[in-house]
Amino acid sequence: MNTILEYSHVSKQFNSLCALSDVSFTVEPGHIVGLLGPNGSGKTTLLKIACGLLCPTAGDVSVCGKPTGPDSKLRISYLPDKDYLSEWMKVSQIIDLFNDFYSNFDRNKAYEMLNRLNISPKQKLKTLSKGTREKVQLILVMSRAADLYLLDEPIGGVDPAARDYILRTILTNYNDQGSILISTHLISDVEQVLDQVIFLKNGLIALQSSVDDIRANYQKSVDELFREVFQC
Amino acid sequence: MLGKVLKKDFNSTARFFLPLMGGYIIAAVVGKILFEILLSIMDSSGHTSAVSEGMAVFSFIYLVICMIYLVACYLMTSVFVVYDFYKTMVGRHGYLTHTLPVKTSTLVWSKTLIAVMWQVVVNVIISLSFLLIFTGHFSMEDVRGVFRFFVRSLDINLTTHTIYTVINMIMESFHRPLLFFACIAIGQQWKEHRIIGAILAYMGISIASQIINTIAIVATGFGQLLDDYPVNGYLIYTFIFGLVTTVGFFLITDYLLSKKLNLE
Repeated sequence: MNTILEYSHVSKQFNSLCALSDVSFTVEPGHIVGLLGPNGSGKTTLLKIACGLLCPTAGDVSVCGKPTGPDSKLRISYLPDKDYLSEWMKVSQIIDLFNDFYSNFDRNKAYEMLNRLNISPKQKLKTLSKGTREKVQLILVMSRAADLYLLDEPIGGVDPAARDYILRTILTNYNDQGSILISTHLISDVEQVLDQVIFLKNGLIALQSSVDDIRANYQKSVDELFREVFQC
Repeated sequence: MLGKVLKKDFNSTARFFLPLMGGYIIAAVVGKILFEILLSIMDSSGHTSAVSEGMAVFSFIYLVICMIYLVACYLMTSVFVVYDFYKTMVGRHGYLTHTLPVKTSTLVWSKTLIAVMWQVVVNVIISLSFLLIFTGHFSMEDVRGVFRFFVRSLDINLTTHTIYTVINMIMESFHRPLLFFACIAIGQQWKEHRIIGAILAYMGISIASQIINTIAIVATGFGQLLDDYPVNGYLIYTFIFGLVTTVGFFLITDYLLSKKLNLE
């Protein structure tokens, strides 16, 4: 099967700040890849470039062989690290909107997940708590049979019980023909679900490896290796 | 896909415009009632009581407030269009807008058409409100008289002039929102202070337009044309200039938001 995501010599410069420098890697189908690095290492920038929210200064990104555009956006299901939905909308209106635009969106699946969490579709987003709004965003993302799920800090800033729910939701609902790229610095919580990891340090790839190879070659867990690589 | 984006943008903007226009319609109906009361009080001059004088003052103040509301409707139309574009294209909600499987040009088209639609709605409702207020006080002959005076004074062909005016009004309704969109897209190129960037872009484009305008009038002999055909010539010129700049603003917005997007 074709490569799901390909970064080829991608750089991103913000004035004098180099957020990404000559980043190249591929993600193959069926893999769950951890994009790991401390704050400010370029994880969010890297994901936003794949979604077309940032334009790279140099290099190319393709999703299933398609350059950034409507075709690639249909294949990506993106969970940003911020609250991006309009507060005035009802949950049902957002579901209708996703259903209108994404042919791979499963409305029934979304309603099932909402029902399980006792979130009323009639509620407006502004009446929901921050945590519940984040869950709605996760439900929208995981109700799509996408080729690539880009999840930016999905477990950042939530309590351990919510982390378990989020990880369970991701693992039980993603399209297993596709791949997941999950950015986080909470390694120990996600380590058990990852197949591969990419360590990002100051906009450069410090390490790209399968989790099994890390355990075999370094005799360490990903968390331990991360602490060693990113030691202050 | 354009239909789906139009539906999304309509829902997003209707929540501003419907209350604004609903309020204006109610204000116009009340204004009509008070206008009639005011006229009847004025007709019965010499037989006024303190109550009717008070009512006349109140009616007059109310009609002045209606006029201010009317001006506010025009201003708020632009404000709402700009606010919606900023929030959904380069603000936080841009995370949704720009991850939809839609071309950037389709997004810009949708924003423009929705802006044009609301301008038309606002203009139609305001025109109808005037018609409502003055109904019963002017005959069709009075209206024809005004038009005849207008045609005689300016020495123009009314049909041609009407066609040019309508075309220019349509052009202007596209030109104005696209100017704002282009400025926001330019301001978005700044890493920080993006609103200030957009305002500076607006000032820069306005100054550049004035300079180009002046050069074009002098270089192409439009000045002569304006002298010979005082109104229609000017309308032809504004149409050409407006068309070129409107297309330019669309292309700038589309290019910057598709090739140079840097969402915070």
